Amino acid sequence: MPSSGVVGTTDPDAFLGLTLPIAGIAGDQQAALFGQACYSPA
Amino acid sequence: MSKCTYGTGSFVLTNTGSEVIRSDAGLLTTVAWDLGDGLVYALEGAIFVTGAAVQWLRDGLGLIDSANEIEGLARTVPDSGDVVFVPALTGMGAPHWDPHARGAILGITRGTTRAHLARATLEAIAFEVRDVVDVMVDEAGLEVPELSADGGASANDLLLQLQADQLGVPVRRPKVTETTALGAAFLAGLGTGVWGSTDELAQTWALDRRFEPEDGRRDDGRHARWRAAVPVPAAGPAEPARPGAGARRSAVLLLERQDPLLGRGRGPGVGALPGRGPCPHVVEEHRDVVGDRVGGHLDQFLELRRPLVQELLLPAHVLLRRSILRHVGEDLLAERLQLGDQLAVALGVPSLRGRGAAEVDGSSAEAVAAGSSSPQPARASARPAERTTGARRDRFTVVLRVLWWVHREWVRRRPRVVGRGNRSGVVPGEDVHRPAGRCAGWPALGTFRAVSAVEQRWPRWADPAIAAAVAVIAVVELGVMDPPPPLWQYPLALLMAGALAVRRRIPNIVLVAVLGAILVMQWNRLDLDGAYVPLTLYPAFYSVGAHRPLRPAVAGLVAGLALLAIGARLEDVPIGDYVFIGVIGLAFWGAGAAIRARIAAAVEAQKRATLAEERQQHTAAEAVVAERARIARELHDVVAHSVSVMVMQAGALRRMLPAEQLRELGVAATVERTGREALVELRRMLGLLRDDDDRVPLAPQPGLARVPELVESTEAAGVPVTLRMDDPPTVLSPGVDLCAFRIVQESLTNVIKHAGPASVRVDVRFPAGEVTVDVVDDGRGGTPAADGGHGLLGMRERVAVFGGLLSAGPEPTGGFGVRATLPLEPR
Repeated sequence: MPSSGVVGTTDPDAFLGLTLPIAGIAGDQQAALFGQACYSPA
Repeated sequence: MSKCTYGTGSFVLTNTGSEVIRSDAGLLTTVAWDLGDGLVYALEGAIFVTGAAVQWLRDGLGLIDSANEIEGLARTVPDSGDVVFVPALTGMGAPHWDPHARGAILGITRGTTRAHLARATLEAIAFEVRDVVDVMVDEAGLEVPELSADGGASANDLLLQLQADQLGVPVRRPKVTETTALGAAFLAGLGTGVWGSTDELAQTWALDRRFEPEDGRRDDGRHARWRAAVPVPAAGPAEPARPGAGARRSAVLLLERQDPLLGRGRGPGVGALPGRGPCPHVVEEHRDVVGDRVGGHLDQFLELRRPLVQELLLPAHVLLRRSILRHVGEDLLAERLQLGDQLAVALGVPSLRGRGAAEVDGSSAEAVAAGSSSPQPARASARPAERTTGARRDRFTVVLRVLWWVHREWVRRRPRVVGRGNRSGVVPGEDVHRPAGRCAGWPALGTFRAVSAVEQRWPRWADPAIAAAVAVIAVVELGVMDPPPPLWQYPLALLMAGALAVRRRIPNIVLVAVLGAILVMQWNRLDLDGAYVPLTLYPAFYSVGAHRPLRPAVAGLVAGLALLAIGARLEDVPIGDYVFIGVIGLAFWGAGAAIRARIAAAVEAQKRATLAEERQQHTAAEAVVAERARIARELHDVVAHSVSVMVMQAGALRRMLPAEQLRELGVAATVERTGREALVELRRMLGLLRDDDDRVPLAPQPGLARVPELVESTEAAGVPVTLRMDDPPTVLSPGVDLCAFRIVQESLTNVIKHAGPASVRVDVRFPAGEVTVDVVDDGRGGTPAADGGHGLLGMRERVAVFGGLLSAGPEPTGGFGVRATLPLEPR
């Protein structure tokens, strides 16, 4: 499964009444690496 | 490209592209992400204690009041004064991986101040990160031309400067340092088209500040002292450490490496001087004292906050306990209690066991009492544990059950219509299970059955009484005989009559005795005219047939006929007379044998009927247990859901609290942890309660909010529904909510199944402190069919859990109504 792309939506009953797409999946450190724009080996 | 997140611990990750690079030196290979064009890998170094070392300065040593002070304090001195702090406070992670390693503060002098310690702490963080980066470069062959810093501690300029000095490459800090959240947002934005490519994303990355290494090169001098205290292990898996061994080893290592610390300027690895450093056990003892103080402080604090934790968790526990006690069969209760104990420990509340065990004992004693007197011990043991008010109620229940048993036995053994005539066709012990009047129309068989009934019910005193009567007849007959018989004929006649008294117990001997006495009389040519002779002879034949199994009965018959023949020969009776007597004897014997078979069949039938009844009761009892298990399962599910929500809230609270509020953080963490433990136990319990054919429900348990869905599906089934549902005054407890929903659900199902053409009215109201659920139809009314019984049963069980009331029955105006009242608050 890719890390990016819509995989589902939030349940409005459980999440602030909103139906939002869930489009990103990452572990915390992996997300941090992505957030630091470290997109290439060097 | 590499980044380092500075938090409580630190995590250095380097993007290795599509290449999987494995490390023998303690780095972790991980998948970074997949943007649809192949997996991208990363190499990760996880360091346990970096920011946590600063927290320890604050909480363990009290050197600073808040973590933010550290930079200012560290800047008051130009360097750490050669103090080296090894912050192995919870073992060491990458690249050492020694869970037993202990920390140390080395190189202190009289001139060492808390500022030196603060600076040594920041240096230590930089050293630890450098060690990981060094392994990445030297061992894994990666390039780390710069390091992107983030996380809470990256706000510390001094730390990042020290880091750049250690690495010899620039360290850059972005404007947004919450890069974990940013990264997740980037991924989601890419996925939904907010950004088109990683190139676009890279352009949104904005630099806050860049830290260049001083003099443009690595500061190896300071690092050498660190390396002396904490050698980077040679590549290869770390040797497995025994508990305790690691600590000792670290201390010894430290001892051996005092020399380069003390002898400044000398390189690492030059001759160790044991004895000049602090004695290892002194170091350890000191550390233990500090540890104890910190630990004691925490314990004290937790003790203080325990009521809060209990307050949060107790309602769940009470509900659990109630559900356990009310809904679990006795045989499951013991297992449940064991789990309950663990749960109680997890929740930090008094155990169920003290009370529960007494109940188990009480109920099993009762089962034994009921089992010894009742023929249905299985049923007694399947009876669920309902006793909640202790031993007194237990005794009361035993008395009730004994009374019930006496009543049932009395009904069963009460003499039935035996004397009422030929057509009654009733055999004792046979009751309504047998179609009445089966033998009507054949009076002979009716008589037969009546006789067999009489024989079965024959009282113990009847035979001696008959014997006495026959004896009187014999004496009278002999007395009026003319000429008078010899005196010794009296004992012979009395022997014949007397033998009747034991005709059921030893019938063959009785027959032989009677015939023997006749033989003696015949031998002596005595007069055998008298009613007492047939009155003893034929009952004796009958008794042989009726009271001996077939084979001895035949043997008795043959012996009797043989004796008869001998007597006939002795007396010269005409052969026709002999045959006549023999045939009558045979007929009596045959009647006896037939009645015996009849009685055996009746007993068998009764046994079967009893068995069937028992089985039926057992099935009903099993259905009750299954129904209760289902309810218990749902309630546990509800509790598990509540607890998980609680855990999430506690987790959220923990994250929202500022890092300085250690105590509050501690409480939140404790709530979270105990909640998680409780969840594990709950899941185990759910597993125990789960039917084999039950699908694991993934959706949360339903509540009143889903009643409209029910109404829709009921209308789809062709039953018009009028729904009136008020808004609840407060948030309903999930258990009550579920219970009310289930009542509506079961009732509507019953209407569809049993009411025939009907419409139904559903009313859900909330009078003060209660919820009332009325489901009334205008259909056929009457009692629901047999399979509807379980629905009502389940409803009653559910309502009982919450101390509510349920009434269900035909309406006076026709139709059928179910009315339930549930208290909103537990009673």
